[in-house]
Amino acid sequence: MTIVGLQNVKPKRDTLLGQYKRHWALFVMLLPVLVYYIIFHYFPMSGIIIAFKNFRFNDGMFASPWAADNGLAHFKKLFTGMYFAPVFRNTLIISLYKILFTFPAPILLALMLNEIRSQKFKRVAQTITYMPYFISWVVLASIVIEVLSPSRGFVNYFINQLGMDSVYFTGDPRTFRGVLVGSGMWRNTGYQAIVFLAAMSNIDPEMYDVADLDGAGRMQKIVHVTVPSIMPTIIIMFIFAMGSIMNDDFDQVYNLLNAKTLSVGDVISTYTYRVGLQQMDFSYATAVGLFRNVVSLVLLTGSNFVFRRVSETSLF
Amino acid sequence: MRKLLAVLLCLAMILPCVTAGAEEANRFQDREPISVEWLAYNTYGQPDPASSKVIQAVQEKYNIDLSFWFVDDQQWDEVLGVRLASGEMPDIMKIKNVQNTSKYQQQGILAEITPEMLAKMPSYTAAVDAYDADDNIWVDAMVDGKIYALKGINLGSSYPTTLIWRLDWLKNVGIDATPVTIEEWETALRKVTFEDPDQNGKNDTYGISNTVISAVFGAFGAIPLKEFRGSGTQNLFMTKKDGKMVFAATQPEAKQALELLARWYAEGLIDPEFITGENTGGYWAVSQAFENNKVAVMGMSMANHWNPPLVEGAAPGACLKSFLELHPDAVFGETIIPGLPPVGPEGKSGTHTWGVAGGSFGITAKAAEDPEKLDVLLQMIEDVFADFDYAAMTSYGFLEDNDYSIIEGVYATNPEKYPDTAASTKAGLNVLNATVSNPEFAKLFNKPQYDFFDQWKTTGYMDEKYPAVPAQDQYLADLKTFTLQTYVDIITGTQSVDSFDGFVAKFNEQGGKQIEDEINAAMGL
Amino acid sequence: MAFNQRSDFLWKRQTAGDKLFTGIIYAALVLVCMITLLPILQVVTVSLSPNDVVGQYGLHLFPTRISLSGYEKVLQFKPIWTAYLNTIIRSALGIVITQVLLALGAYPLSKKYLPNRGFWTFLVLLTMYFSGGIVPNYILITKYLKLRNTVWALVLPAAVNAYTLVIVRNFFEAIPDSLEESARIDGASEWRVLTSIVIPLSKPVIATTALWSLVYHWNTWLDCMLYISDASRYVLQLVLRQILLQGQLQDMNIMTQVSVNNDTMKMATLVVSILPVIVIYPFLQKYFVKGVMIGAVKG
Repeated sequence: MTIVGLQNVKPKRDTLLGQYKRHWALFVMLLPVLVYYIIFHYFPMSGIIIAFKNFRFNDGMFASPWAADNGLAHFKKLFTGMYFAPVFRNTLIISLYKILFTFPAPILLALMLNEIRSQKFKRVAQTITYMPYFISWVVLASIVIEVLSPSRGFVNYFINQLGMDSVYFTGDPRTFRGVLVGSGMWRNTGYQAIVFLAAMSNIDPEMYDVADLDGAGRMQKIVHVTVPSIMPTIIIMFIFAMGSIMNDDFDQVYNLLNAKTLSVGDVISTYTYRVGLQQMDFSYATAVGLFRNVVSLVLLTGSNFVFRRVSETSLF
Repeated sequence: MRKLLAVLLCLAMILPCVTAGAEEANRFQDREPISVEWLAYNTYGQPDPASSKVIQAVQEKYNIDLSFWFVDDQQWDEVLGVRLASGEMPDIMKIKNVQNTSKYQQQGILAEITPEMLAKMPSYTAAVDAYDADDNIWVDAMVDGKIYALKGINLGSSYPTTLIWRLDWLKNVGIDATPVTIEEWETALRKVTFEDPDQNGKNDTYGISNTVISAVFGAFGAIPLKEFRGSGTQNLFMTKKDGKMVFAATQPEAKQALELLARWYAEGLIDPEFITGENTGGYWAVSQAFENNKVAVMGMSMANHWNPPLVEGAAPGACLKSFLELHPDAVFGETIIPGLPPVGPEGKSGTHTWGVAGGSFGITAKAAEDPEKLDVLLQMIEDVFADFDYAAMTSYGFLEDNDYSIIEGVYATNPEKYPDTAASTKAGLNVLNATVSNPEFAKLFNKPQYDFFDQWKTTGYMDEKYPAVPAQDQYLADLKTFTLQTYVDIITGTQSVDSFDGFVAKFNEQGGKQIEDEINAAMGL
Repeated sequence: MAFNQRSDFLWKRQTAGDKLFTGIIYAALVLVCMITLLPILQVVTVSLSPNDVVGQYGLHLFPTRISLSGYEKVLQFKPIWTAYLNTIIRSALGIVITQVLLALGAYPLSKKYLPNRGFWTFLVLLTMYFSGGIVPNYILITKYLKLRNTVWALVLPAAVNAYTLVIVRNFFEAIPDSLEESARIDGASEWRVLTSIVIPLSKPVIATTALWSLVYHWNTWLDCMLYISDASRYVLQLVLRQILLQGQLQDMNIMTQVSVNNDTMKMATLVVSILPVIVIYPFLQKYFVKGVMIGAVKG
């Protein structure tokens, strides 16, 4: 066998077959994963076809008749729905708010935890912030409504103490998106911080010592050592976040949504739940999923393209 | 003496049935055992044939092997849909949402219930007919004029939901009895809102919240929606006008009710937090706002949720029990009391009523392919209606095993043995009766309960039944949301009452009219 | 060791600005902890309180009177012990399979010289965005693979998630090439580089993804309801759901006495179900200590 590592240093034009011959060991490693994806993902993916059909249970997915309008009837139903435009807009706006406010939160938390010298305090703080993630939205939503209640919630108690009137946060279109963003942060930040903490534990301590010798303050060390070191992780997470703009959090929204806040809080998943799944309409549900995923994929590849240009990190 | 009488009465009922049952049973013993997949039950838990004596007794009686599908009630449509879509079927299934009957039929899941099949269940058919005063009981079980589902008959659901007042509050503000007319209601609500009925020195009470709003609509002639919270998944009710089915939500009466509600809201008589719900957790019929001294009257629950112990040692109704935990000194009839729904200017009134034949269950195409299986399924349903002993056994289990007790003629499940419905479902109680019961038997099981129901019965609006039509698939989901949103906006003053006219026009234009037309055509009206 | 000593030495010499900075961070973290502790306190207190306390409006952050009735009701529900075991088996199996496949998949994808690397990565990523939905998956697992009523139906379909795979790949990429070079010059095969260099250096990301798998397997129940019909093989969350669902159904069946399912019991159920996942986290935290990875190699 040749010394494999050297190819890395000295790239040589090679035929594709030659490359596979040389790196067969690498490809053999990948093989089980590829087989897994083909069986458990690519095979069932053929079910997407029912988005263009009227799925009849007795006929099966492939023999079912094509939907009206050249197979596009379910898409037509989605796009011409009375609420499609506002729901699509709400989904985008809420997701952008979440990227703006929710995305940096776990990074900030991880950075703060990373600055703590007392292992005991760090461990306790880390565990406490991690815990709310395990409370389901059904339960958490009722706590959110209680905490924010205009008549008995303690947030409004403080507002009243400041001499202002109570705000019905969960029942007011002006504040509802804030409630979604805030409660999402409340629940998920600690859990999401873990991946950044993992990235930070990869940083060579020597880099901090070098910075110390240069007389860097703690803030400077964060800016010049910690953040650049975890930047690849941040970028990957950010690209994924862009790719999940269309994936709203159904459980969260569904449990908090009400008649007053539908106009600002109704998102694609809650909307299509009402229209489709309650009526066993798998074709419609698949069509919605397909639409959503195409948009997501465009956003993902778009942001991936941008990061491939401006940084060394990208998904592919 | 009364006990003895009750027992004699029961015996008189049972004896003829028992002999009939014995003859019937024989014809099943001559063939091989048939396997039956059962989903016609409320999935509070999963029945376990291995440990349940009830299930074993039924298996023996009909010479069948039962297996049970478990489908989570909260994910019913999703989970059942997936299994049906991949070609699996139970033999008999509960139809949770009757509006899906036509979907199941189109997908070839449900077998047609032919007149011959009904003829094999004379007791069942007679019981259904006895409660079919309006000749419409089968409407939502039919597709294209043929029956595809069996209607469940449930006597308790024939009673209207109850309005419960804080009588102590009314007395504190100088009112002696629960109000009746809309004017009396308004006066009472105003007093309990502003005159500190709970005497805590704070202006922290309201008249009503979410669950009473539908009764206010009732005063004007029709209830458009059951509740005014959530995000619009509730059914829109229909009403009959000039012999035609129309959506209650678009009628001029609804505008009158909205006008009144908007005024009450502006005046502060309605709890502004009705939007996020009056029930904030726990059992669905409980109103935390009512229990926590926030509102003076609540709706939605049934009379039997409020009955004091009817016989010695029995538990009080679920809502009363919960209320007593927070108000240990409360007395039914003094602290709290059922009241009448508000009576409108034209003398109309009523609360929402589930209706005696709310639910459905169906026999699947798979079961219908096998004549012997079909035969046994039909006999099982017939026996629930014809055979008192069998009905008692499938509902309550065995007396000798202490599954239940009979005190003063009241059948009561043993709470030690079955502390919750998951446990009783596991033991097969209320599973093989397909969640239906003969109303005559139901009265025998718990006469005081129905006496109590009758004592507090008020006027009510039953959901008008209508068949599923294609236009619903296209438009109804959006119309539900549109209606709820507009109604709440009008009540809370975000939109003016006059915007109601624009709402009606848009509602009809967005498919409302088409749905009405298709329904009327389907019903031949 | 030498490094640590120097760090400690420098730590003592922190400036006034650094001290203020530390103070702000501690204060901020204490505040964050107080806010995030709130729902936990509510859940735990409700699970320990009698009904009359729970029924009252407002938050219940500290128990005033203790009642263990909720826990008694949940723990007397016998199937939960089997269900616990089933969940543990499922999780353990799931974590092992996932970790093996993640390492096997992420390592080649992290190498720039893997032929068609972009294509293979994209092939994996695409599965995040195109899925046939639940019906074809159900048919695949029950009809073609015949995995009904086996633990494999719960473990295999979600064995490798594209998102996790890419994150692990990213961590592998971050390992300095220099560490691998020396091994390669000694003639180590790809397999040896993976097992003796890359994996030992990747404990933090292994801990992270193992936790993700654990959380997934611990919380998921829908697949169990679909694929498992034998109640003795049910996972914990499905069994607990059966307890929770009572009292939620708006049915009018009054033939049985309705048992009112109270919030005390619900919250006790929640505590029973999440306690193990919460307790395990502090044990994983040693893998997230700064410098643990590089230190391990250099030390």
